[in-house]
Amino acid sequence: MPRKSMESLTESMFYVLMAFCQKPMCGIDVADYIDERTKGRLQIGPATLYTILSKFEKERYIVEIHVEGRKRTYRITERGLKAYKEEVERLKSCLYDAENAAKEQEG
Amino acid sequence: MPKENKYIRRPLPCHPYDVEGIESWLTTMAQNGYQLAKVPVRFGFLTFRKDEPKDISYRLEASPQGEGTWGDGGTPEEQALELSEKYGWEFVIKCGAFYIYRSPKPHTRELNTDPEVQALSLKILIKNKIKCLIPVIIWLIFIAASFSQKRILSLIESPSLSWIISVILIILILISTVTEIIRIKKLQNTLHQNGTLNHSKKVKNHGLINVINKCMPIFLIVLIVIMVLYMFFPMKNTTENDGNDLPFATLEDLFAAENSEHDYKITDAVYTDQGRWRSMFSPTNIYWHEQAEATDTDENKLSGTLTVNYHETINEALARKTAEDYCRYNKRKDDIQEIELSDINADYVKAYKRASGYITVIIQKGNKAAEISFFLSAKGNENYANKIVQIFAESLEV
Repeated sequence: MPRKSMESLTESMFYVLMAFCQKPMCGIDVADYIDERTKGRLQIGPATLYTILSKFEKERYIVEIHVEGRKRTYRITERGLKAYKEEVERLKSCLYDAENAAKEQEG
Repeated sequence: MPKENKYIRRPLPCHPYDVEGIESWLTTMAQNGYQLAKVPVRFGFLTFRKDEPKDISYRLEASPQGEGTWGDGGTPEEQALELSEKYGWEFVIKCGAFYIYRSPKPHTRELNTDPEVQALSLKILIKNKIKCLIPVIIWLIFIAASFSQKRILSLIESPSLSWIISVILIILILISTVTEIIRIKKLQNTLHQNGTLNHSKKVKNHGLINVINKCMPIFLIVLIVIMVLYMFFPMKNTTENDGNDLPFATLEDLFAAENSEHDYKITDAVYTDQGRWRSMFSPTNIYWHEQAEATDTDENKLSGTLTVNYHETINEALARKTAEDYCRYNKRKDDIQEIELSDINADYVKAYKRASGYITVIIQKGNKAAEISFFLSAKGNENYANKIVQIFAESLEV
């Protein structure tokens, strides 16, 4: 998967967007959500999460809606939602191709 | 009993953008009982506190704030601090373009878990470096333009060791910045290819080079301040002078040559201006300008203007190049016409007449080169110009 631009998302980026699709969250909530959702398979590092949040805010995938002390809460934007859905579709295609390839191998 | 010094200062042993090297070195220092202290980095020196040997991981994170010239202050954003603290990473200090974090081993999770995102975070460093390059490139273009106009003259007129050192420093800063960009690119490639960085890299000690590198912009600032001071308090010391100690002919000599039967005396020195300065390649440089009127015994009046740029260079070849540069510079003017000269006692001579009546002569004799521009009210023909050039050529002693 090309990772240089925001054309496609890394796994961490994908799960961060997934978290924001549930509800507005702050960074720690996002990390907890990903831990819970992946049952600890994907543990997102704090620097990674911070970089993703900054990048998403710059790309207008998320927008800050509340600041309380150190805690900054964001919500997903239409643009972010579109990017998430496109990535879901892309992953579905990947899975579909993989399943077909496996079937062909078995057949 | 002497009190034991609990703190030591050490320069970075590797390049400031060698993330793997710095992380490994800090971890080794901690294992040897030296913990990085929360003391701002000054001139590339980090402060360590003597402590028990500990197994601690150090990690570097790209800072969007860029590097400071005098020191490395600054902290990450509150949100970044909160996130890192939640997973046991403590922010220690900012060092160059990076924030340094640490966590006792075994840590709950790595600071960076996605190499692609980490590579993305390094982009900001490249952007900052390119921003730094812009003024350096503009400065170099300015110097190159100045040299293309007056190649040798720039060396002769400009001065000084400080000017040359500042140019060298600017070139070094340019090389250093490009090197840093290449290092960041390599780091990004490592992350793309290997997926992780080597946190136990062996480091060769280049501490002194790093300190010099860190101090380079400071040297440059000091030199620029000196140069600016020279601009306001120039080396061309403007002084009133009667011209008696000048190593070339002046208006008085030209008036005398006008008519040998009449004794012209300067009756009204309207304006004189003199500057003398030294430069590396031309130990004696004189700028002379005068305007004067003279009257002879029959009350005949003459007026004239003379401007001389005189150089005694370190050798003949440079004097010749200086003269040729003056010629090249004068030939660019639209309204000039070359004058044929004969019987001039000089190694190189050219003369040009301008539409305004001014005559410009360029002479080189031995290690002396001069550009002379003059205007005399009485005469303007070419024979007269030849006579004046002869006087100047004779006045230059080899």
